[in-house]
Amino acid sequence: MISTLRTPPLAMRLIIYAIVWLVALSMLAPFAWTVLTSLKTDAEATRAPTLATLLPDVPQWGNYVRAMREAELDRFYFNSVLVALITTLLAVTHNALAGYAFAKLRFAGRRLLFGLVLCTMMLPVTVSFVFAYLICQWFGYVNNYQALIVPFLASGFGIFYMRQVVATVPDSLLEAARIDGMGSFEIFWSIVRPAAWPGITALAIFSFINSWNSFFWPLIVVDSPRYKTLPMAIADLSAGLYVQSWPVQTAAATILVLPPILLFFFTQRAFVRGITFTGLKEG
Amino acid sequence: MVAAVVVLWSFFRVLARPFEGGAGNPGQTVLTVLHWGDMEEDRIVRQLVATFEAANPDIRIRRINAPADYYAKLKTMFASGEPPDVMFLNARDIPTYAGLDLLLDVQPLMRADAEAGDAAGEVAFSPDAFLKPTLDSFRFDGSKHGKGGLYGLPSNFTGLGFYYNKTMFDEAGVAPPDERWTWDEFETKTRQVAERVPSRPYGCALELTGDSFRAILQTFGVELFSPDFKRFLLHDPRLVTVLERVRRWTVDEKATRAVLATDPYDSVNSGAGYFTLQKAAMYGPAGRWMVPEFRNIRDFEWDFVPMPRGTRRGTVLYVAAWSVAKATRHPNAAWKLARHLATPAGQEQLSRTGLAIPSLRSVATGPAFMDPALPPVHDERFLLDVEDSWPSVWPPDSRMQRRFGDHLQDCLRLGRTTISQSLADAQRDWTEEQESPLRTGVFPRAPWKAIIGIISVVVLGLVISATVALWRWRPGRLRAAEARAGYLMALPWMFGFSVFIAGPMVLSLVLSFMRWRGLSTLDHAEWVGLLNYRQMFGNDPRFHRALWLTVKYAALGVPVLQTAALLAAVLMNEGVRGTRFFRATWYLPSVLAGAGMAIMWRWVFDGEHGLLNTALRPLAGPANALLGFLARQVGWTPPTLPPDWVGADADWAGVPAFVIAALWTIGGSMLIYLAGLQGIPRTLYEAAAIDGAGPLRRFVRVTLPMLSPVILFNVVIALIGSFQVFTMAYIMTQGGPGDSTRFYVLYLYNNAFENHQMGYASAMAWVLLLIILALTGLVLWQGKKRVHYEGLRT
Repeated sequence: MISTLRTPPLAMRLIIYAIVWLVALSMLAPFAWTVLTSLKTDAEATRAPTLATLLPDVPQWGNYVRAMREAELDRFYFNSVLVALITTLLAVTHNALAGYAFAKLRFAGRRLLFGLVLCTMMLPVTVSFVFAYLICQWFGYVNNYQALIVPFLASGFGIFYMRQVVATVPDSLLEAARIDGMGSFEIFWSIVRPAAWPGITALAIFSFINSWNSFFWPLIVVDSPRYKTLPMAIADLSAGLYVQSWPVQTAAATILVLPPILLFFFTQRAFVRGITFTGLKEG
Repeated sequence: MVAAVVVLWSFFRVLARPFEGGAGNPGQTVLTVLHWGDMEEDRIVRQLVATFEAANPDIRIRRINAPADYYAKLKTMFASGEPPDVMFLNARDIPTYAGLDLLLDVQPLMRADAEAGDAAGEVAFSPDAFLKPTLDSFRFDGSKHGKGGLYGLPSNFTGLGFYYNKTMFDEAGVAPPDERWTWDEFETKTRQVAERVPSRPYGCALELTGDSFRAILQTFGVELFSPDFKRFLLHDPRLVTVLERVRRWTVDEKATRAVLATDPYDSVNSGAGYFTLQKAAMYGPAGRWMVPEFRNIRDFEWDFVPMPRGTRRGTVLYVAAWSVAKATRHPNAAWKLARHLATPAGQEQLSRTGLAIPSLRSVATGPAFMDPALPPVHDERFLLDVEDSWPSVWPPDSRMQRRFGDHLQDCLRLGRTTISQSLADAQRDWTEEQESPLRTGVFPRAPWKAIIGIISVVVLGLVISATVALWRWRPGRLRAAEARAGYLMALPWMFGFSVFIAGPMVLSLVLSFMRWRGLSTLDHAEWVGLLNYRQMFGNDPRFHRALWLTVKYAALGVPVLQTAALLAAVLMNEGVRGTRFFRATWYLPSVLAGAGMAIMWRWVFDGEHGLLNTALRPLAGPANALLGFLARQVGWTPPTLPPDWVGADADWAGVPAFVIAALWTIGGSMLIYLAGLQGIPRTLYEAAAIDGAGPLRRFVRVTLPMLSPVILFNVVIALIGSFQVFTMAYIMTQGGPGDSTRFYVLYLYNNAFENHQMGYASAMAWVLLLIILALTGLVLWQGKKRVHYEGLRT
């Protein structure tokens, strides 16, 4: 069948491309700026930034070596990866299981509970930090991996999101499975998990990025270098109040953002599909 | 089922109470020491700790170096009841910390040392060994600073003065300043250099903070506070004279380029930056801490001079010392450690880095500090004013310092207020502070038993009613199994949620009825009833301003950002090739962590050289003409475009600047819109096209209604997010200039971690929750009427 919608005229298409490219370039600018600064000498970077001084004269790859060595980033990479991976894995199972229970199980007070979850997203976390610290201390988590992982597992956003995702799995599928004699865990594993996979991937990425970038909380709750994560090391680097090296700091920042960028790039198809599920159901 | 058990087991394995990580051998004393420091300082303290441990095998040290957010860390440790045994403190913190009885008076220990003689190979300090003000600034007698018990052993200090570019002075044929110079000479020299040097530098980049201004006041013998901190001495006529003089340099005679006032929060145009880039011949008042950075200067010769003389000599001191917590379980061991950390050897190493000046007289006059091989040539000038100077203490805490600094910036750098206005502003801040019932009132201890009782009753009630409901529920066998599985699956989440999300929330609600400084354990909190809330609405103009600013941001930001995100998604949906690439690119800034970006955003919005204004300037002429024409019709003075976004024009341009910056974070919303667009059946568009609808009509009649649930979702999320705007303001402007970018959550953060008002901050958090809740409710209610759900139920 021939589509009744004409493709837009060439001039129109050119304009659209121009705008899309312009936006793309300006979106890339902060990252490009970070990378360019990371390749400059200290003197070049402290020059008042103008368009003329945007490019480094000679790329200083040594800044990356310095960042690795001065902030001991190599040492903290392991912690960051470990914490982010465990957090992601647990947060996803945590929220997916609960999301399935909340979306597909009828019980009284479901709406009320949902409202409460929304409420928790409205309270600024700034003060809660202190109280969360006291609770972590009570559990003996302070200065341990647990402090960096456990508080991130059950979030208002996570359950909100997973509930939306699982809700889109057709009930008829679940009923059919139940008639076939499957138990609830089996249904979750062989029906819900594959059907909600894109949404689960999206949550995994959100959780990973969130854990990877989190900085203020780890700073308060962990102080031993044994458990330090990358953003903390970088904060220490930039707080080396007296000796400021912008290039080294931006090199560290570049090292920091690479894993999330790569992760996003390789999972983006599933990620975007995952968002499709959620967007449509809320109202 | 096996899988379920494994998953659940792994949850509880992770949640289980961890083993104490190497608590040391039995009988071994464990001390915690908290300090700040860069790599060099870190290395020095690490070595000192190692030698201490080697000499004292029965003591093990847990060393924490926390240069980023040191005070947030320290306060949380105090609040948890487990403060570090030994910690690094500034002399200015002493009235606060010693006033709250958090520190140990080490005077008796020091005396005992002196009587015992040279104990165990360690130096026994006598008070005379120190430069007098460095030690005395750690004395506090309950009301007066400088007398009474001793609350720290000084390690290093610095005074403020000026750095000058010797090469530039030679070039101008002007004699460089020396230690006898006066403010009159400062005036003539800055003007001469600015006139005569061909590259047209500024004569001096003048750092205007509360502290540096007090250094200027010191040279005229003017104090801002009475010794007991009860009075703010703003009515001193000499203060006004100094203000008028500085304002003449920085505002009235700005065009001579003799003196340029700089903003301490501006990372792009910092005073030190002007100096190192040879755009200013002098820089100050600044401390010794600049020396390591300035030692990298290759292009010119530089040196240091003390503050110019006014009616006397003097400056402001920063002194850092090792203090011992009163709550320590091992006072003697902790004192031993503090003494070891302040030894001459450590001070020598530190002064070799150039960073700070040793507080021990013997080291300060020795070769380690006065190294002739390294600049500055005149190291001894740093010691000239010490005996006549004192640290800059701000009662009751850092808040007065910040506010006074803001008023100075408004009046002396931006010229937005007159001197009498600024003084009146400062006076009002002080009176508010002094008369606040939250400060002066006496309140009973919080009734924790009753509170815990009430919470337990509520929780118990919930549990009982849930049990009863379950008991009465008689489902079929299959349904019961399903429910059991459901509860089992939801259990870990519910546990985590109630402990780590709901728990802190409930605690903050309870604390919003209390006064708690966050420096002592929760049982020290006092019950104030509704006072925090009454104070907020009745007596805190800053709260109202922050709320209003945030409302403006949300009102402008939500529509602009959502429209932009929607348009971006529509563009992307128009069959652009390489969607994958563009999607990734547009989402990228949302992944970038904010911290490193501060300097870039400052640059983008900089009034003079900023990227944005460079782009806008060609349009500015016509825009100004048009605006001027329109303004004349209604008799209104228009602003000059392009504005100094987060500088002088921040009062009106600040909110738009933050909205512009937020355009870089629309990636998330855009992806959600894009997904929604791709879910709209193509047949709908085709049908509309057959009916003769053009592209615009198709957008309004098909796209918008079909997308309305997605729009609603995004608007709600954006509303919640925009009321909590924080990070950008925190890294870019710190709320300044003045309060013009102090958004709600930033002010809340100030209250919690800088003003020691945890109770007040908690109340603010709950008020914000209620506001957002009401607005979200309104949006959802309105949305219900307008949102189309047709076609989505297929």
